[in-house]
Amino acid sequence: MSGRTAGRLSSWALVLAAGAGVAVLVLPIVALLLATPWGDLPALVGDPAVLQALRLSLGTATVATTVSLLVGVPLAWVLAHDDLRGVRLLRALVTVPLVLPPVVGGVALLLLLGRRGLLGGTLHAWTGLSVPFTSVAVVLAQVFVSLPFLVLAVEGALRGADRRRALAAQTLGASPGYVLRRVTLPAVAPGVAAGAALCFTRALGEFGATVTFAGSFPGTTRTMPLAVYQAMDTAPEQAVAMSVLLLALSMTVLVALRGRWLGGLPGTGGRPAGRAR
Amino acid sequence: MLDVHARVERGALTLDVALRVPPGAVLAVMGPNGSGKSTLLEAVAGLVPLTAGHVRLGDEVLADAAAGHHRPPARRGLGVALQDGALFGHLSARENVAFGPRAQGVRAAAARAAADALLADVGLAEHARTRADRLSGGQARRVAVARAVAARPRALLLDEPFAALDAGTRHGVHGVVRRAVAAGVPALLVTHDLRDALELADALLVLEAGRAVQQGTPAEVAAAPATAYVRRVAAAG
Repeated sequence: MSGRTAGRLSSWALVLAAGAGVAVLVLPIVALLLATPWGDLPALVGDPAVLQALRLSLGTATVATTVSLLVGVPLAWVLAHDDLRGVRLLRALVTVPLVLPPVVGGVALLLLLGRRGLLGGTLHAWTGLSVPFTSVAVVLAQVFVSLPFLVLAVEGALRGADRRRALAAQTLGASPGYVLRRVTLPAVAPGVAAGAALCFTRALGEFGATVTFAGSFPGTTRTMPLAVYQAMDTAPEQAVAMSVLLLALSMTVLVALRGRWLGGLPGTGGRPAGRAR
Repeated sequence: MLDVHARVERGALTLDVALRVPPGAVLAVMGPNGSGKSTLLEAVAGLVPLTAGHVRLGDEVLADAAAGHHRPPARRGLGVALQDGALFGHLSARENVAFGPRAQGVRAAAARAAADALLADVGLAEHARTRADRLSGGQARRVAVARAVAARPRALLLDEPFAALDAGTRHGVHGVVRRAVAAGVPALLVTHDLRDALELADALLVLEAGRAVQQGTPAEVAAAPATAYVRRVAAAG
């Protein structure tokens, strides 16, 4: 066999393997879109049970993203400083939920905050409050699985926002507050936005930890993914309609992100005609 | 007069250099990679602390290691162009140049007009609105020089400002530095090109492994190289 034939064969094998990869990713979506009863979609999506689940999903995912921003940005800041002690261990801990099956996260949350949990018992004895199987539990489950996405994205952005730029700003007479406002935060903002978007879509799709820790009660804990799963038995058409709705929401976030990357920031002018003079 | 004695320990490098730059004069600093040129400049700027020595500008003490005195970089009133520019990528070239004046409270319109004039001087008038992270390396260095000068500094510290510039643009940037210095400002110019030193500098200091190995006017140094490094540089220039 000549070298050229061998090269051609192996490039065919590559193309085939890549094509199989694309098929695995795209064909299920195609099947979903083909099965969608487009004519009945407005009625199916307008069903009160669906709207209830949608409202709950958007609400909890928004709260979960806000909570993740409040604790995740400072956490990312700590992780971005390698010189601090214990940072490597901390990063490993933060990464655990990324690789942990969400249902295990749900079990762990239950063991922490359940009536007989590590903290849940004391909490109930002192305040009469119980977290599991409430909307708060939904939010906690979502934060548990989605926070690492935000932290890692923001950490990357903070590392990219080179310290030398902050130093350069200081030499120009800028106070620490001015440096933070005009240099560090704007440089980091796109990374924070991307992290928040990832975090939101992950929270929106959360299933395993939610169903374990919060259950599936209409109106309080039955978010869209849970409602889809429930509907697969009783009303498959509705399950398909809700799935398409979730798909549309995810795609919207994806497109918004791309616009952010490609469009740059407003009011900064376009690309120069060419980099080389 | 910029009067410096800088001793800095940083990794494997121990820098120990004394220098004086009179008002309106340019001191060029040359040396091989890792000889401490950038560290010297950063020590004068206050970005790295002195382990011993002092930095004085006129009758003001900017740093004095023995007295534990270290004035923060933001209050030294210097114009600094760090290596590779260190521009603010999310801001336009104009906003970068106007940054120092704006940070010091100059009104937007005035800062902007001054920035546009300086950008024209370094040949980048048409790039005023270009985002800094879309400029080429040479363009970014020119913006960095304009940004350092725009802050109306009491001393100029320029780290490799002319690297990657062709002869024509180099000339324009030389002019900007010359005009700033003519106002009575002492300047420290780190360069790897003897031509810059010969054209711009009144004195040349050669650093090797953190120590001054030769000093004099650029022409003197070029005519009588004291080390292999200086011989090589003189031959290339």
